[in-house]
Amino acid sequence: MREHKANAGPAGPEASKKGWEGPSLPRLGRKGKIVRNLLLTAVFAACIWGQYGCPLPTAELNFRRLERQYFMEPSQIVFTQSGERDFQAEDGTWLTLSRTAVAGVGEEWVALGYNQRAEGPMNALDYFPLEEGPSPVPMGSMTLWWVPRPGETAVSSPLLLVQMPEEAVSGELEVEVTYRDREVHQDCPLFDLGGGVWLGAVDTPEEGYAPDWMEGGSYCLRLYDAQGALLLEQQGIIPEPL
Amino acid sequence: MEPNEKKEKWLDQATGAIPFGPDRAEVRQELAGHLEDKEADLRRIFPDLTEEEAGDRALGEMGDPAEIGKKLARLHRPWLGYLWIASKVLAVVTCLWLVSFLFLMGEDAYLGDDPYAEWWDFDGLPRNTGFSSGMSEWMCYEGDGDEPGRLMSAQPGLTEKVEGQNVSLLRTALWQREGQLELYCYLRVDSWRFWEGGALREEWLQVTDSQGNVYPLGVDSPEDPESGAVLNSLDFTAGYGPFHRGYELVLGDLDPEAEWVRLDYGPVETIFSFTVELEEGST
Repeated sequence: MREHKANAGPAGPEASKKGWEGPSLPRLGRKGKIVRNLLLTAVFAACIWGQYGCPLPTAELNFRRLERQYFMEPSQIVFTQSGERDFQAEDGTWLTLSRTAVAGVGEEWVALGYNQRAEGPMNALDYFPLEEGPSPVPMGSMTLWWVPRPGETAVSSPLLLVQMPEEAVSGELEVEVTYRDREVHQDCPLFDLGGGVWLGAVDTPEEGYAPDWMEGGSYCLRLYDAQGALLLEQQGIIPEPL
Repeated sequence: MEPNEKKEKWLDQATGAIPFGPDRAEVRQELAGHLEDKEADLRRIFPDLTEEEAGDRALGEMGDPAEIGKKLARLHRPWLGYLWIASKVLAVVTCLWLVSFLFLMGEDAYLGDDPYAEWWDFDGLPRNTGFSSGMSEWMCYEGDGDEPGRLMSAQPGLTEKVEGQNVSLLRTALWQREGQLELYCYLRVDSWRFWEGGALREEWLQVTDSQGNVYPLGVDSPEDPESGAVLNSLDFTAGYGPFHRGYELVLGDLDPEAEWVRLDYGPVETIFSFTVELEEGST
């Protein structure tokens, strides 16, 4: 067993040679040293993690953290897209979103989490009003690439639609936006992503545009069932964040 | 065989089964010390013994090196030694990694040279105040008590616990400047969970007073006719750290008839609310 020698202070010839030493810490055994090193590592690692913005392993976990940061109750996640990965709509069309995005439905709102930066964890969370039926959520800060036919890629602004009826198999989306004194009226392709979530591809303005360019525009949504009968027609305003 | 060679061979046999190198060297050194002590004792007790005889007898008294080696190997578990080395490497690597941030990121490093960064808010004062005349936050909320323009200052200390985080209204001060009433409120969000520190959004704060006036904030706020600056805002540069974020609410043109101001926070439903009583002279 190792002895712990208490410091005797500055008295005596030994002390005068070495000079005064402050109260010494108890000598640690090997297990003690391991615990100490691991604790130090944990503290350093936590600081490093903080420097990187405390990223969590999945988009859903980052989304849940944002909800807690804004003191909001957890919503029901209905759409998740991590990074620039290709995904396929129900009709087989390949789609790619420019940023990580997660959408959740709450009692009175739709929460949209996304990344404002090219790198790092998801850092923005917007809330949009939830309507009784289909509810549009503009994703103007993101870009949607999709493949209309092989060898061709189209670039659009995504408009997420949640609470879509499950019986709907096809639809039409008309969007009318006045942006910088120019009226844009267009028929937008719609993609069924399953689970009552669809994605509309709205053509972006030719010149540079702000992420909120779609907000305040009007839309008309028509959905059809498998027999081609009109299931629902809804008109409304593309909402701004709450 | 030379006496030293015998000794080395015995020590090699006794310690060879200890798998962890640093332990093996330490035990070897200790056993060598014992051997030397034993040899010296034998030569002191039996002065006629030669060096070789004393060495042989000491080795014989130490016991069977193979048996000792087995016992020592059982005693010195290698995983503990490897874990110790690994923990040292980990601690050094993470320390160097962290230090590199200071060199690579400089002022961008969290809590680096940012003037609003602080490890903890010890004095309950914002790091920066919206007071446009250059007066410090201390003068705004505390001062020496005789500023003629300050009508009221208080430390309401109101706290609400929301989703595991504490939201507090720590300080308020009412000033009269150029015929207008200005209200300053210092709000702070505290949480030990540094990875998900709470944040307030200007657009989710609704400010009303006892007269029914609504004070829009930020982009919706009325502007000062001379400077064009917004009159009402929730400023997030009031200081931040790993465990807190500070916010300062500034209302630049308060109704003189108002007896209280209510702060309701939330996008749809109210998540928390505070009421600021406006009593002149309640310093």
